[in-house]
Amino acid sequence: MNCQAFDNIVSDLARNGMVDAAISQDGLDHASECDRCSDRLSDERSLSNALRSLAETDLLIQAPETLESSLLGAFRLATAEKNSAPNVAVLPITARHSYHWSVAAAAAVVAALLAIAGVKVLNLRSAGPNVIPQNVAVTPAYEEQKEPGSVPAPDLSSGKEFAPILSPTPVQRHQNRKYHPGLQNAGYRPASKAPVESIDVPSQAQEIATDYFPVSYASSLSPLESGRVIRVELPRTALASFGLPMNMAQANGSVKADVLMDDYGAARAIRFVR
Amino acid sequence: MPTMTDTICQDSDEELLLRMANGDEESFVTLYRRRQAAVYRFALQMSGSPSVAEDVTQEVFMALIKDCSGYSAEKGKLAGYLYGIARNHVLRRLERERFTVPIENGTDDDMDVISPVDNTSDPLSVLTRNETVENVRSAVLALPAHYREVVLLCELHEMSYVETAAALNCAVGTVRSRLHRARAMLVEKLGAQTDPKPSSSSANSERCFA
Repeated sequence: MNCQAFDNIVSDLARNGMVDAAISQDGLDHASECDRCSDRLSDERSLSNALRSLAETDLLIQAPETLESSLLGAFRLATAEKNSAPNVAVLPITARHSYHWSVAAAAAVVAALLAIAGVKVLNLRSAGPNVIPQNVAVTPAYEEQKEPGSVPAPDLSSGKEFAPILSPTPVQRHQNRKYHPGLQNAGYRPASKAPVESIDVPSQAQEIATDYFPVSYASSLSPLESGRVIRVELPRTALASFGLPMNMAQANGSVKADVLMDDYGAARAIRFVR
Repeated sequence: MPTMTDTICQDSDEELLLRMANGDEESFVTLYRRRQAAVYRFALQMSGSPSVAEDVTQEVFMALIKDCSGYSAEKGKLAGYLYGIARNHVLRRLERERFTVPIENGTDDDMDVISPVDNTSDPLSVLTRNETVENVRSAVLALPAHYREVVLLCELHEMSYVETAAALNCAVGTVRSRLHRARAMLVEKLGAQTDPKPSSSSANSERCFA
């Protein structure tokens, strides 16, 4: 074996790596004859020992304990989101960055056509017997840019979990909102032209909610530019996770929550709804 | 009688991941506790910064929570997959912070976190060992990133060439040659530290290749 060949295997020799026994023996024989290669092997062995010491030293290093709880919270949210996926109502809250603008434009055209068709159907019905439409779905096509921030925890103990009305729900905002010309393409019509009193949304219209609480791990993420709100159901014990009082007698129950998700699907803030 | 946790701990990473994907919280916790130290350690050794390491560890497991379907057992072990994600995040952070200067001097904090193990009663041995460890740590941190990651995975995390290649998404031969080159650079750096004569290092690099 010459020095070039020895150089190719010296690392494996020093690391006790996978080297053929005959080649290994040739290398050791060469090192015993060549001073420079002997020094090289010695250096490599010293390096292996030093690296082993470093590995042993670092072996006890662990991630901070707080990380586990943060990730566990994120896991619970993600699981709750998955479990409630069929009932999820995705509410677009901003359109600042529209990566699929062409798809959105096509959807708007389709929505406009459907709206026109809907108006025609209503007109036809109004000509006949006066039938009040039931369960008309309201497209929550309002825009919202909500910065999550912590607020003093409301008293949610006992039966009256959300005593103070901290903010109107999306539906309330939707109903209070004045007609926005930009929503015309999404099929939205001003209240004066639509039979609002016949729209059946009693459960959401009477909802009250807390303000948004930031999710703890989200503080290290980049500022929220856009996102969406997803309605989920969480175990009632989630209230305690955010420092809210909880009625222990109802600990096994569930509570509705709106989760503010960013564009990458990470939960950024949450609020509880009753 | 074994508890549920004991039973789960016997399971492979892949089985835990499957249960985790179905919402099993205990599987997630077990998997996290099993793998967090290695991921955090790798990120710390790559970046030299505990804050970066913490962020990267969080990103790695968040990626797993959000979409664990990205992992395929055919491509290698889950550990390698996690190292791969961690490596990408570290490189991204290092690239982003290349032009920034930290306001605080994190050296002291880093030293607190990476405190050498004191398992010898002889103070001189402890001192020598600690000095050696810190010299090696500095030398490894000074390596270019693509050499550093190979040294860390093959030497400090005891992964095979094949596993490392899977984690770094490159050929086994690439891993082998990078490790060889990285070790030569480390020998040169450490040799220069112990023997600062310039002639020594130049002599080492001009060994006979006849």
